[in-house]
Amino acid sequence: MKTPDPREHNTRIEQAGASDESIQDVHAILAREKPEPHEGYSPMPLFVLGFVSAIIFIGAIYIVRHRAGFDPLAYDERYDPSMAATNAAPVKVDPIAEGKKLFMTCAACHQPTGQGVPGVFPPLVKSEWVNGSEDRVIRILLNGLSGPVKVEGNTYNNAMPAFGPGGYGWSDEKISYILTYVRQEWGNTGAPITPEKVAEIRKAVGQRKPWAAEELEAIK
Amino acid sequence: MEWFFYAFAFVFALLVTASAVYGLYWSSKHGQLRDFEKGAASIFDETEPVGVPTDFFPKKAKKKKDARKLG
Amino acid sequence: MASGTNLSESLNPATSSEAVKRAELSEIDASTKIPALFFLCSALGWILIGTIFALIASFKMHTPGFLGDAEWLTFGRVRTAHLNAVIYGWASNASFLVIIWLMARLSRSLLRHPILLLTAGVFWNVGVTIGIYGILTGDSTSIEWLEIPPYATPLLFVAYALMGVWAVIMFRFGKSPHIYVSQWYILAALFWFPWIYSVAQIMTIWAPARGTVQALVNWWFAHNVLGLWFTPIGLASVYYFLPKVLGKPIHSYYLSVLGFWSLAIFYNWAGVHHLVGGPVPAWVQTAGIAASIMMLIPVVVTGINHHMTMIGSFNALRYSPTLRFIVFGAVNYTLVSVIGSFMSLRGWAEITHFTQHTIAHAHHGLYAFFTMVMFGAIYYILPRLLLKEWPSAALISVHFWATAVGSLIMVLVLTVGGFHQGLLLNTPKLANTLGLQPGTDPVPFLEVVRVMNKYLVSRSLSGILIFVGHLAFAVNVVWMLLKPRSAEVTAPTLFRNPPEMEVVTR
Repeated sequence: MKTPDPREHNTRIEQAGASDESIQDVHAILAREKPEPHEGYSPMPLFVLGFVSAIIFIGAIYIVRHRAGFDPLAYDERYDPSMAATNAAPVKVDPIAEGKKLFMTCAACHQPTGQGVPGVFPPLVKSEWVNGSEDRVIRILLNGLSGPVKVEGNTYNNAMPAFGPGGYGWSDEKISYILTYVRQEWGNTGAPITPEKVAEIRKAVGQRKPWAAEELEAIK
Repeated sequence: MEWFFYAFAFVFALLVTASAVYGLYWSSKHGQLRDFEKGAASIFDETEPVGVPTDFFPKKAKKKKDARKLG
Repeated sequence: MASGTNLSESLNPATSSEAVKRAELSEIDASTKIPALFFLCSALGWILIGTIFALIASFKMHTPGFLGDAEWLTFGRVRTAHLNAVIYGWASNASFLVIIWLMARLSRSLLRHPILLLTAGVFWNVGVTIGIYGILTGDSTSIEWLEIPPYATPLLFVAYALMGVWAVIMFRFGKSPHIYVSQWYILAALFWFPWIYSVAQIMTIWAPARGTVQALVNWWFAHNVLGLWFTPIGLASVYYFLPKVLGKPIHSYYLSVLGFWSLAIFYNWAGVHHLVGGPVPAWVQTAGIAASIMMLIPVVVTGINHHMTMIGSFNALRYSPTLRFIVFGAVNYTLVSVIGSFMSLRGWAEITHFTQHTIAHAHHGLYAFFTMVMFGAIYYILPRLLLKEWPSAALISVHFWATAVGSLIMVLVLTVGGFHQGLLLNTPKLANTLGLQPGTDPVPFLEVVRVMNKYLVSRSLSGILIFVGHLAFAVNVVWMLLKPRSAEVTAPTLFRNPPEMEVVTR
């Protein structure tokens, strides 16, 4: 008998198997068996999924609203860089109001009334220095004044600090505001001073030691 | 000198993050994230099986004295 | 026992014929005995010292003349000494105890060469002692949480490195196929702490960064000591002892894994919330606040896990000292973290920054959560190390109630006080916000100080209560160390069941 080649589809063996009851019984038992149970990846509980998503959402909204444009120089979370860019038009500043605020510094010596202290600090009220030449008074602010000076008939010998370069470092705007204010307060009659004029003088004199009265008197 | 520290810190931070990612990858590869029931029960064994509490207050002194009186 | 021919051979259990089979729990516990006992005793000493410093500092806040002549006890020094004694002394030593014991148990590996671990522990404690001495004599670096002078910190680093390496070796050669969540937390903590400590030391003390970057590094460090060193150790303990004491596996292991990974992702960038409102870029503050909000995820998930495991077994609190402390700690973990998430919000921080509320929060986390969990861990571990029962149940009860009530009073009193203080300090702004009389004068600072007095006195009283609890604990421990071992106890886990305690089924 020819030995059946296992690679061939041998119909005789299959027919034999199909009619053999014991083989069918064993196959039936095996066919009923389910595969071994094993735990799959359990899905995330719905509550946890919802909670995690909500918190991530809240966190993301918070970051977006308070990022201040990720600007390293912005310390206030409400800062919005796009708004700052559109507000290019400079805010209108009232030089006299600004100057009044700045006068607090001057009042330490010149007094809140602008009267000065007799023999110590010269007055600003009706002072010929304040109401006179712009060039002189701007120079006094920028570089200070020291040594004897005659104001309204009295001599004062003290030191006024510099508010410009090498001193308090006030900007051109600030110096112009304070001078404008002082020149119209307490009955003073001086004209307002512009920041551009201050800038021009700053460029001309730069940083130097405080002026003496004689040097300033030489300037018109 | 400062840039050195920032560069070092940045590199190290990258390494830390990479190790975290690797940790997650390793644990999923080695079956740590399958079969959570078995994981939870892994701290129990034959000497301390599930269902047996393992910590109690010490016997009260009074009970000891009674035991000594009887014994 | 394998002879010490080759260090790596002796470490690897596979080369030792005795350790081929999985080691018994009792053998594992016994192998950890020497270093574990050392850390426990050191921790105990430090918490007593730390509490005394705390009491002195607390008294000085409302009675400034108290011990006013002692230069070493100036408030700035004694308060700093308290902080460092409880963090690097008590809390860190307790952490090392838990790390060794838990890693040995969970890895199912015997601890070999315990003398080397002991040496590391000695280095650590010598370092902390020198550091505290330095602080008291005036060498504090004045950077919060990093005040230990630079001559002591290298010792700490070497000690920690040794211990970290040992724990990793125990883990590597362990015979447990599954890495339980506590091991994840411990390994991560061992990895995180040296990183944050060395970076902080370098960037604030050894080669200080410029400007506000120092402050950022400082608070990144200080917050991460809480969140990446102590919190993982505390949670590792809860995840182990809670199911172990009950005999019930943790409710959802899936949630614990989720909790671990979300903590790892979110916790470390939350440190900036200490600097909200400060000269730090707004986006950095926002990132810190967002991270603090995100921390709600691991906290809520962990809280659910603990609660669902405890459900139906709350009566076990009557029978188990460990469980009382652990559950108290776990509940307060959830509470302090949720409060913390809200504290980081700008509106809240505006009121509570630089007030007693921060102190309340710090103690809520480090004491009512971490320290209580460590107490629970010690109540479980020590009997198994010494093979003896705790000598006095009464002392345990005194310890628990004194510390629980004391810490809760402190937290409550300082929270209310902190809010009161913050609102008073903010008065002009608040007045304008509430539409009150414009230009309201600020409350004079001395008035605020006077108002705070009652809160600070209450805090001192609660501190005394806590100290009483610690004394009860110390007495119990020393008594237990000295009392003779009972003949009938042969293995650490065979303690008698009280008849009321039925077997818990899942």
